[in-house]
Amino acid sequence: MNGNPTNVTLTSQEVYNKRKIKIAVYGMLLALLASISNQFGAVNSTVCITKIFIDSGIMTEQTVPIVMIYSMICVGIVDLGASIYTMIYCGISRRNPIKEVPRTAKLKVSWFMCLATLLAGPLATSFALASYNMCGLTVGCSILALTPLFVSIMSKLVFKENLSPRVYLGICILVMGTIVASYAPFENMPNFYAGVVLAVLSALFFALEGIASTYAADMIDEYIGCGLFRLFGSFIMCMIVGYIVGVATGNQEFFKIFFTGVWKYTPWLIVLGGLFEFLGIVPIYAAFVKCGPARCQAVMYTSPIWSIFVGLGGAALISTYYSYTYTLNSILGAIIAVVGIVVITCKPSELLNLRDVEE
Amino acid sequence: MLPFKVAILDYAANHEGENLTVESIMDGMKNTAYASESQFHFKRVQEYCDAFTQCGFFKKVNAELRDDGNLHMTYQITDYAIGRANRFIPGRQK
Repeated sequence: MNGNPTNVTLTSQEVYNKRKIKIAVYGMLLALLASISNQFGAVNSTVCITKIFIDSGIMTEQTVPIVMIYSMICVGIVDLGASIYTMIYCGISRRNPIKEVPRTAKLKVSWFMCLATLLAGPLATSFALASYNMCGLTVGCSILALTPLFVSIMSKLVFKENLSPRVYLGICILVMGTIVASYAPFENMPNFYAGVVLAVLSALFFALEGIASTYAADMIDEYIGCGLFRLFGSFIMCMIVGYIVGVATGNQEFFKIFFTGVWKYTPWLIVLGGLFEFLGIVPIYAAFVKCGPARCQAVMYTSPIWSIFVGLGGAALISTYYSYTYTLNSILGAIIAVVGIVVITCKPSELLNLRDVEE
Repeated sequence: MLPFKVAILDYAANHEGENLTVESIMDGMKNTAYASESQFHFKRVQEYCDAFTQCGFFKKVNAELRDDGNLHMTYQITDYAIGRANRFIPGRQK
């Protein structure tokens, strides 16, 4: 296909370039908003889980199935809340969700977003939680911190995303920051290697989420797709997986008690947690399209920085149900993460051609 | 019916090799059912065209800065987008 010769005056070209960079920068700001909001969501979920355990008098060991069940319930409920917020947003922004949702659901490419949900929601989340128990927090978190690196490699292969060596260097620095921030003394773990495998799978699934959802969002409206598949779909999948784990491990009674406990003791989980999830997931899906999956994930992994501020704020406000202590490592990790993100974003002109396709 | 964003891509794929603007796309789709919907407005079509440009589905043919300070873009659909459209839009060649 031969395009017409370009006929662009310098001023128009400058304005055009500025617009493209502006869209990509806006995408990275959305990813930043998501990263911060996710920290608020994590504090809120921790508070809710602690309150449900205390108020309902649940006396059980924190075994892998128990952690998986209450995590699935919490993730599912906040995703339900977030899907409601997303549809309200789609209505307000005149995206016509009543007509667009069934149209989107019928399209085959939309189901890549459903695949993304399955990978990131029940599978990657539960694998990550199980790995922390099996191989320790340091090793688990360090392997999970490789996610942006996996995304950048996959994105290069699938989307031909333009990433300079400096961006790769920045991502590596970010990964180092997260590893340093999550460092804790090693413990003797009986299922260490199985935990490592689960952590690697979890990081791969989180990376594949970014790729599968970007593949779909290139074509469909990312807000409609995210609300329908990533959020409402996650609610359904998490509930099913949580219940199956409960039945399979003889903990179905715990599933019922905890599920009822959410509505009885922490009904704000769906309202507030849903809002944080809405601000923590929907902007990521918008950012995938605007600045590319690799840069979006890199910005997302600035979480060591925000976790300190949000953690300290949360502990000061709700000390009964939440405690937070920072270590020298978490401060050091956050500083390294800042360096990494500066290295990635310091050359805006790189944002002109996000993908190596014809221009 | 296709989702609106996909319908725009389908329209562009049906006009492969032709120059497209937000106005020409809206004009070409004015007799479709989308035209009566609240999402059928300049800003939304512009947003989708920008998104297609970011992901390499549309390439810029011309960018003209008008007197009102707005950038008037002319696009063409890319082979990359045609491939994706043919694969996922029902009724198009596989």
